[in-house]
Amino acid sequence: MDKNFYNPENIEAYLENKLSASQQAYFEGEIAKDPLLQNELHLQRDIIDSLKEYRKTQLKNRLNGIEVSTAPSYIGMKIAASVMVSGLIGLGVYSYFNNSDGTVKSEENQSVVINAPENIINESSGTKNEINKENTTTNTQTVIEHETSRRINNYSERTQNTETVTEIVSPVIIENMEGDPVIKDDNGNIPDGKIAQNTENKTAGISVEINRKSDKKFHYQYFDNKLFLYGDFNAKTYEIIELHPSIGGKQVYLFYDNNYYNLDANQLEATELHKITDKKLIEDLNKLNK
Amino acid sequence: MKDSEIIERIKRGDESALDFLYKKNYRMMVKMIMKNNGSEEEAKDVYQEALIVVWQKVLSEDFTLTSKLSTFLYSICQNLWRKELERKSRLSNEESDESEIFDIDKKERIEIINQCISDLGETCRKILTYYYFDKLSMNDIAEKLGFANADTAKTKKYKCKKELDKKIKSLYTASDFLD
Repeated sequence: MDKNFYNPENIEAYLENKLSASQQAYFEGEIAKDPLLQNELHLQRDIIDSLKEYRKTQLKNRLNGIEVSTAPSYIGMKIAASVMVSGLIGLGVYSYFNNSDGTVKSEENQSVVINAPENIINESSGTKNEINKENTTTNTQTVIEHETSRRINNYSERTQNTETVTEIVSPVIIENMEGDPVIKDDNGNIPDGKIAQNTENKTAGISVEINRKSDKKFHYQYFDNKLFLYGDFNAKTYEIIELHPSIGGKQVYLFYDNNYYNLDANQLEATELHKITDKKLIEDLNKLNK
Repeated sequence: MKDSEIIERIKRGDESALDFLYKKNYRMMVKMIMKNNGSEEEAKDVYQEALIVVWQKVLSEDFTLTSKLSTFLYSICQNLWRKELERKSRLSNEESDESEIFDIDKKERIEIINQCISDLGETCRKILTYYYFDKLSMNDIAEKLGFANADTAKTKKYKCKKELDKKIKSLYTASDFLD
């Protein structure tokens, strides 16, 4: 240390406790004797403190700019969404109907929310078979792989940007090109052939045929494990809702034009569709059908 | 990101590691403070302070992590919040906050200093704040600001500090004169 105590570097070294014990004692002796040196020391201390304060405020502003919330974290949300979704799927079956020119309609009330990122399009051939086993399996796998990579991408994006940590699973539409409803089991899986052929779960894959030209307006019947609807069902979206109550057998409802209709699986002759009027049941179905 | 990676990045002055740490622990820390009679606003403020303490500690030369980073952060948060609660209770006891009685001279001096810091060029301000607050080495400063080497950074730091001192002194003396 040179003897020029006014040298800012010496003052700085003193302020930052970088002097040895003997140097420090010597320096303090000089300060006590020299009021000008005292002033300089105070000024330097304030300058350094202000620079620190400036930087601290800058860092705090940076943190303040980061969007955070005390809502459940991203992973928590994801799990919650999955649980909710599989619950929904376990309770109800949503069908989807496309219009006659083959283009896919997608309105909100037709969408099925599942934990998958993209539209699953099942190319079911003919009206007799429910869901092509191979297609379904392949599609599902693709979806899972795709989703995994999408999550990773999202994650890295988020760590780089200063975005919110919360993410909501985007709704997904399951579409069926032929107008056949897609049936999902309690775990949210599309059943494969085994399940569809299972005698105990015979109607797990409901296939539907529309007969617009029939003179029976707004009728339905089951035949050969297939639902026939008579009437102009192509004009609006219909949905088949299948309930699996813990007690008792499965119940199937048709949702069309804001009304619910009961479908009796034992109805083998064409019969008129009757609106459900039970308010509680309608309320329950509406909850499912959100 | 692992703790070791976060620390390594903070040591290089990488602020994105701070962002990451902030987001990762936000809920836990803020909840802890809110459970202990803090508002969300207070919790956020204390948590940010704690995080900046961690930032500085990690940047200090002799830092070694002896627990999980989140545990370390948690304990700092707790301490800061305890201090804040003590401060609040002192204030509510109507004792005049004597430490807050500042001399007008000093207040004026700080104002001048802050004005001069704001007037500094961006590079100078960065060099000086990184040097004094973050305590980055000249090597790290050179790397962060794209200087050729540590010597360049050192020379620049010296010049910037000299410029700042000069400005402050000229303004300070002028205001002295006006009094």
